[in-house]
Amino acid sequence: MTTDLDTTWTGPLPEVSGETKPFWDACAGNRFLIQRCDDCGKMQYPYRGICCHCWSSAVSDVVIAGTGVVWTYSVVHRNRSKGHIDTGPYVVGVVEIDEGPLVVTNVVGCSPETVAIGMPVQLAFIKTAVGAKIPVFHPIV
Amino acid sequence: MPNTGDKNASRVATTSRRAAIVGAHEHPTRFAPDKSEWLLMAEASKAALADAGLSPSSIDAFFTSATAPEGGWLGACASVMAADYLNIQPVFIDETDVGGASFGYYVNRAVLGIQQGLFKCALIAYGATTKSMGVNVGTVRYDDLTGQPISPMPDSFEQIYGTTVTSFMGALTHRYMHEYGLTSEQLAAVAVTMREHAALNPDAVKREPISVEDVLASPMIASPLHRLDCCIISDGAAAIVVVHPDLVSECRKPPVWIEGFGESIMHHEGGFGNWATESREMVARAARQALTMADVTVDDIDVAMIYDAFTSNVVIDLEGVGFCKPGEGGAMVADGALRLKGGSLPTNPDGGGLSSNHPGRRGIFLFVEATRQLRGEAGQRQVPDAEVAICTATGAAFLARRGSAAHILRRDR
Repeated sequence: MTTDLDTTWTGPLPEVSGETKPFWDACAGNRFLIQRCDDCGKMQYPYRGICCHCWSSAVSDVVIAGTGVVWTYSVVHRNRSKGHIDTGPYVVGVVEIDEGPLVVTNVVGCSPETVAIGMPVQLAFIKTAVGAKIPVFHPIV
Repeated sequence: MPNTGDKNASRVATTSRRAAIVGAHEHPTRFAPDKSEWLLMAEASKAALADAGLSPSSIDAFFTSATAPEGGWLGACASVMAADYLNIQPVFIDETDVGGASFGYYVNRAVLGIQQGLFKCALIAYGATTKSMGVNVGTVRYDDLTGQPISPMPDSFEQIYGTTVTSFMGALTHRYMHEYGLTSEQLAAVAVTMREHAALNPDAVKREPISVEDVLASPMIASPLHRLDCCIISDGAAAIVVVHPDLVSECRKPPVWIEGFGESIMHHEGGFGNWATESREMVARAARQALTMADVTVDDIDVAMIYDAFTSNVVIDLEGVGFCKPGEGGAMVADGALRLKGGSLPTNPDGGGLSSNHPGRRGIFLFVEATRQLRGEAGQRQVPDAEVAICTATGAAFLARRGSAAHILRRDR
């Protein structure tokens, strides 16, 4: 079961289109969606309105289990953009979720120096001031 | 769509002397707060035409890259806007955007257009005032860098997490280290060698020697990349003139023939692609096409120009081109293979983007330095008797959406 972290999102907010609205609506309910193609059976991420493997328009939502491992990461020490300039070092991670796809995210809830490739991580959500929720991952303790 | 194998492999029609670089100029400035990037581009173009011994009225194709906002004010419709500024009348223009690799793509399009008889004299030009505008190319979010609002796809799934150019490359480098044993010390050797070369280039930004320890002690920007693993930021401009063989005899200097070329883009396969190995395989596809087209092997190459936005780019490209096996690039650079003095593959004799010149889109400088080397004009940093050069560049259209171009150039025989 995924949880809400006791923190408020300071980064930029996602721009939501009709195509990606189901993904962000699901996040509001603490669910993270990837997609499986009804025709070729392959999965994909990020969310889009067509199967990138066979160009079928019949793609179905799959709610991920919420676990995975850090596939790679970088501890960001310098980012001069608004929303990130004063945060201190943070982790841009690429998580290989159990279902297979690589997911760009933040790895939170731990000291950045402790993050390592292969570290098991769990999905969680961070609330924003406008009600949307941002999916992130934290180490499984 | 399904992976259909190496499409580059079947695009290897033999070639020689299809088109040549006959003029090349790298603007000596690295900081020009009183000039626009348009003017820098014009000055470089004027000098490249003079180098070729051709008149600006010869230009019938024009290629340039939008640099706004990361390097100036030349933005949308860049080629028409810049052509108007220069008052040239090309019959063919292009501004394909693959980040810093774009200029390799322009060379490809110039060769193709010349072969088709569409034009005979292509000007490829670039200018940027990134340094004097204070743009932090590698240390802002990509939406800030490009001046574009966060888009629904793909930015909202990536940019919101605070991705920068350096953090993307840092993440890629971490994975490469994990899979192949590459070390920070080996990467530092690339920066040290580039600095050695820059000491021989009076126009280079950074010329004082550095050590591996200096690189490792420099501030971490986005792990595992330290400040000295990252290219410098400069203002700059360059231009090259690519012509039909018919025009070669009218030119002032011997031609540098474009004997092979290739390009490829990174494959993500809906989230299932391996960024690390695919970064190398992308380079490999483009390079194999170029090598096969030119009918040469890596052993024939006397000088390499490798786009070094970061130290790790060099290792990945060396492995991708096939100068060593996957996983051996770190040892290769640490053993001094890239050094002008005694190296088996003198690489970036000008000091590269790490020490000489990197206004944000470095690709064109690879061709200028390769041309100087193949003409024997490189002075103190000349690779003796250089006959064949490779240029390989990888650029980002959008962080992990990247493209790579490779070229084999040969001096006139």
